[in-house]
Amino acid sequence: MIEPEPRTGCCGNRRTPTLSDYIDDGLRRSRLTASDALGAACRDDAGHVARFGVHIADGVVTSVGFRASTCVTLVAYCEVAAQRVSGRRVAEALRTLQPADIARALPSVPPAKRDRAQLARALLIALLEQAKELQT
Amino acid sequence: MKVAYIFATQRHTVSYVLGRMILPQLEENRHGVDVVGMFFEDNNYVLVRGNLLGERLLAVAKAKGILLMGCDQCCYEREIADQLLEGVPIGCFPDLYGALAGNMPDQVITL
Repeated sequence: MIEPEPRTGCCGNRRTPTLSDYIDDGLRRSRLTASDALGAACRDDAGHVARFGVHIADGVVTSVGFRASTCVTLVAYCEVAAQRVSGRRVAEALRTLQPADIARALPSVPPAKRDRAQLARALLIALLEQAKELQT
Repeated sequence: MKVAYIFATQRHTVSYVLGRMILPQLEENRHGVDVVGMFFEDNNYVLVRGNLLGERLLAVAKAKGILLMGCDQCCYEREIADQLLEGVPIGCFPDLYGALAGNMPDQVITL
């Protein structure tokens, strides 16, 4: 499992990012993501929608953006997935999105809401696979 | 009449209004209306396992079929989402409305 990047907390202390950090980062990332940079949308059984967009240069994921329903759990999972793949080569990025790994990154999410992780993961994998095929 | 309470303000709505008025009245079956749900935004520490008020509230909720729900973002922010009373879900408005759909309140009261 990939360890999350530590954050700088009060008085310069390093701290592990919280679920709220991922929500804040995700909402910020989603605000900064242009609509025309996004791939196809996907909707789960509960009606949550998400769309990702990636920019790849020389085989490396240089930027990731997304828009998601206002379910903060989904936003947090999308942000975890986006951070996982940013700066990695496409093949390596795909390996970081192992089943259950995204959900495991946020252990405090109640079981009833963990299915959002699958939506985030599946969408990003589909987009990266597509990008990988275009490269070859 | 059926009511749902939304605890959203930073007044002492839980320790005082809930703890000293609503909950004792519910326990004594003299609240005057049927409470179908309670949604906690701020003050949601009451939903943490072991909270004395929360444990009493859970007992009444189970006996009377009252929905208890914590605001998901509020619980995540306080890092208590995985420490809530048994069976108490977290969610946002769609989850709240969905959960109340089968037993809709006539009035929603924000405290």
